[in-house]
Amino acid sequence: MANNIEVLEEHEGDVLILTPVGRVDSSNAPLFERMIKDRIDDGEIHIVVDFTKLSFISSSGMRVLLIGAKSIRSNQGKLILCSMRDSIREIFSISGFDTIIPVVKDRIAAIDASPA
Amino acid sequence: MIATDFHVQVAARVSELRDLAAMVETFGETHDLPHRTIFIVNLALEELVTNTLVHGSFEEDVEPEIAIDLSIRDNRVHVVVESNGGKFDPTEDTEPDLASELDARPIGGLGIHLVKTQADNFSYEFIDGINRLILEYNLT
Repeated sequence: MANNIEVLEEHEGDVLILTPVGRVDSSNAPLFERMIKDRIDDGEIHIVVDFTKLSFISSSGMRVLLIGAKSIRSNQGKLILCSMRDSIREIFSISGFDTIIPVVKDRIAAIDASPA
Repeated sequence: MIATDFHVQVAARVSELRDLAAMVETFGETHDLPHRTIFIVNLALEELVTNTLVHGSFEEDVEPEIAIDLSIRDNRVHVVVESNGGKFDPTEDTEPDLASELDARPIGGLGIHLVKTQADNFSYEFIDGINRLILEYNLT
């Protein structure tokens, strides 16, 4: 039933940068959630999700980021989102998510904003 | 404008949504719709189909059936989502909490809120055992 999800992973110092590719929707959000949870369990504290290669995200994918942000915050870490296209930025604004998870312009700004 | 309305019967699995999204994109490109309109129609279909499959009222022996119609009339995109099963009105959903701090933010209710906010019209009717959601998006 589930579709796969491709997520590129890189480190910039102590910051883990995740770049999901294509779509995060209800068919693959559980896999994305598992992946983020695994990285947090592995000890990653500061995570950036780069939206450059993401063409679509639904509320299922947004929930995964909210769950991730809660869990990272409880570890005294920070989740930062960057490089959203306008249509995705709009739904983060409507939902108010952009007031509780920082959304910045690009990856450089995201790394600058990471406490690590 | 080319009069190619679009009708599709969706299999009752969220994994089929990818095919639906590709069809909506083709429809959007054929009609030269703005990127934002294609995105929000796709988002609405993803949210409504998923919501129906997860929360819809289906008896154990009833296979969920969902049909989608897209058309352009009077400079508006019309989207109709019909489903079987018992009466299920997502427009009645309560508004999600959008103001709380991160730790207090409940998880849920968001998808329908996005659909309601982005559609220029969003209505529901239940006639002859069919749930019908009608959405309209202005093309201005």
